[in-house]
Amino acid sequence: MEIKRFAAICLLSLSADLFAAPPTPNESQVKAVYLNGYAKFIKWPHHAFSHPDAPFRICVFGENPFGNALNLAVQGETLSGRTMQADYIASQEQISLCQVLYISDSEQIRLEAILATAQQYPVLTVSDLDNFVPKGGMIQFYARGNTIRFLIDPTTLRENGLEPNANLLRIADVVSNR
Amino acid sequence: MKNRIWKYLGGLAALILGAPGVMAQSAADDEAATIEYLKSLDFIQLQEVEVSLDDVFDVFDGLVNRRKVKVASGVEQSMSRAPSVTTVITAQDIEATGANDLDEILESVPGLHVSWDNLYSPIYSIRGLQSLTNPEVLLLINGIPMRDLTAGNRGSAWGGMPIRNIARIEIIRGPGSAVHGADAFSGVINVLTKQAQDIQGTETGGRVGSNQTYDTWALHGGTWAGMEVAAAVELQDSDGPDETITSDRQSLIDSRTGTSASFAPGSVQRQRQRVDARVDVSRDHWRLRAGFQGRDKLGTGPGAAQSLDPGGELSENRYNLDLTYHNPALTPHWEVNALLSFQDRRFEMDHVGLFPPGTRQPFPGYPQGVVYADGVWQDVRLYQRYSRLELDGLYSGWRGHVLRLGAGYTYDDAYETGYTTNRGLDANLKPIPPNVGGVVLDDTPAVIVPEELRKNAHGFIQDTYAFADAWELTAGLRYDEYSDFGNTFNPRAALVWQTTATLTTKLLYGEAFRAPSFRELYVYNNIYRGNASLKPESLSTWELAFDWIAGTHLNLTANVFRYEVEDKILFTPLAGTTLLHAENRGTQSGQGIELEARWKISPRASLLVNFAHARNENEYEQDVGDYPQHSAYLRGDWLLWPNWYLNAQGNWISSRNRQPGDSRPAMADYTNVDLSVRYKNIRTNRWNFALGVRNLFDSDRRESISPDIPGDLPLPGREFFIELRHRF
Repeated sequence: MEIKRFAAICLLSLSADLFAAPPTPNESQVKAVYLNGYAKFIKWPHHAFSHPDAPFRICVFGENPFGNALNLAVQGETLSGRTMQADYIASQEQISLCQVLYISDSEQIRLEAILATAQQYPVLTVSDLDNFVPKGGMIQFYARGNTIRFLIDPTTLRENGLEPNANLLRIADVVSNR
Repeated sequence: MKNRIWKYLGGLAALILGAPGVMAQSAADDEAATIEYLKSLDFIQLQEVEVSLDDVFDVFDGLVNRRKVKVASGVEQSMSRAPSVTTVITAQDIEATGANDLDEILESVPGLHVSWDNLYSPIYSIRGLQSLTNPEVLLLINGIPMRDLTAGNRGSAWGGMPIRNIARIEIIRGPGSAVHGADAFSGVINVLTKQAQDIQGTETGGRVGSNQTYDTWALHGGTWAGMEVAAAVELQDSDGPDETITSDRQSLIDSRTGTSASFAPGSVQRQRQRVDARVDVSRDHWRLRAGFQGRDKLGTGPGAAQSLDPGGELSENRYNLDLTYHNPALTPHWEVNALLSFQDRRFEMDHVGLFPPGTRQPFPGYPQGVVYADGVWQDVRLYQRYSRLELDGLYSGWRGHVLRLGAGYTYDDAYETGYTTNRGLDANLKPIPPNVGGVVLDDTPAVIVPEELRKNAHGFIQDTYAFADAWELTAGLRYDEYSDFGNTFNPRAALVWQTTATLTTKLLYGEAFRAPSFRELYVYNNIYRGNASLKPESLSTWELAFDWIAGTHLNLTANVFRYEVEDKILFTPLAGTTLLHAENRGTQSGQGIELEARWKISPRASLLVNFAHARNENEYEQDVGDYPQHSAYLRGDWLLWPNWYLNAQGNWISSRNRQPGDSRPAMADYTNVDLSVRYKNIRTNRWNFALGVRNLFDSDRRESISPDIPGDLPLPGREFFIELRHRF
């Protein structure tokens, strides 16, 4: 009898929204919003885009850790008249079409090759991988307590023709490889 | 009873399956709202947003979150890319399910069934490969094997492992000898204990359960004198479950000899006291670990020789000390590891009864046999020391490759064996005369297992080559040379293809071996004869595996496997005698499938369900028996009310045939359901309170052990627990 009552309570709690839990974002949601937001603080050269109407592409190389969060983050967003778009790529040939390139943890083994390709284009490289910045990456996420922060190496950005805004450098943890 | 179970299970399934339709949409809406909220913040605010670091707090995200694994190749990598079929269990999974022992959480792994031997030590049956001493699965704690030289198991007084100090468990379902060497045969279980950052502060707690089971523990993690320090003490005292054995081996003897010596029907002896203490200190690249596992007053289950023995008890003290050096960047392209470890184990059984007082046993020259007024008993003392040095390096300077090279040396010493008994062979290998009392057989040819050494040197190489976008090939080879049974090469190859951004496909091949135990090599008594020229058992396995992120919060995995075992080590009748002799004889082949779904249904609910099928046959195409051909596991977690969590898990074990030659009907299927409710405020995380019930429907669950116990080994009925933790 008690079990039935217990099951009834469970069912009730599942089918009806009896309470509103405060939304606690998860890591990947915050990172997706960062990826979408960097464009506001960084200037890309004109030749970064194949044509005047080309979208602003945020690419995820390798396994997608964001679920739907990145799609939601770019939905309806524009930047200087360009539509923001999330793309999921697995081939280094597609890197030249990206403005932001998030390199997934799954790509650790080909990180150097991907960075070598990305360095030929004005592409902002971002990753969670350890030692990403020392290895030539531009922005590396890390957790401090329960918050998500990032390291940035402005020299690497500038070498690739990207100009970070002073506001970004003020709030980020600036490191240098040189 | 059975109907009732199915009714409730049906209800549970309806609960789980009915709700998602409503909830999936609300989950998508919730995520869109969360993203909108985050987008409304500027970067300074975004940096202050507290997130659920998935593995740490949010059980629902934690379930579907992509996990990393190191056990598969020695290199940390995402599970979907790892060159093996793996499962990772986190501290969060353990807490959510209310598990109190390692063996309780392992049942959640697809294709892994926990059965029991006659001392109620766990038998990890993976993909249908199992045996009574279970050397087929390598259990590691922090990468260090827990295998026992004598029997090849984890020690006869293993006594389980408490779970509060476990940070994560990495499991390979499949062969792992190319990385881990001996006994990584049907699987590897690596238990990683908590480090300072996993504890962060002090936690104390206690748990009271049915059968007078009391647990208490304290954990601390912090910094001290510039070092990261973690310390844990876990204590347990339990009378243990007391299910009844209606008929045992002595009952069969009684019916043949007209005696009435058996204690059956009587309850199994599962009492135990255990102490587990660990310290983990690290600074820069160095880490020192020390541990103690004490087991005392361990009951003998249904009897060490399958005859109930209410007085017999076992004990073991296990000490370990290990020092690790890990430098992730010794040079820009070299990551290096070195491990030096020592382990000392002292196992004792004191006056353990093999047959109860009044038993009548055959004896040469006595046609009616001889009555042993004191029963047949033994004292055993097994002291062993295990030393190990492991070196390995990862080289990443060759573009597109990660090379792993390593070598190691182990020195395992059964340095003291003591044996006293009142029946069997004496120091001159002649039968001990009846009723002369105990004869001390230390350092004689009749000792239970001789004091022997095993030395092993090994080397391995592994290359992971990203030969094209989305493709990786891992190839590895390990060579092992043993002082006692020769050498063995074990290769592996894994082709991993990132088929799409959400689908990974793997084709795997691996070979593995299991080392003959000292018992199989050297035992010499009136029943068993070891064989010093045994070869290792060998296994080769093919696997095809898929890992699909099917939706934002849904992860599906599927794999099929096929394996062949050669040179099986079996005790077979020695021609013209009643003796059993260890031989490499026979083959086995198996195949099967494992499916798993992990689904975060809403921000307040998640579901894990898996199913496994395996079939394992001997060379005569007979089912080898004892293992479940079908098994399923279902786990649901719900946030019932703010800070109140409900966990329900169900485990279904089905289609267990008997071993060839055992004419008893097949084992009955069983379903076990556990429920627990937990209060936990994940933000403050000060008080944590849980209560739960194991085997909710009190179902009759049994595991096959030996025809000498015709009614099989009973598992616990319904049990309750209540648990309280406090962090400060």
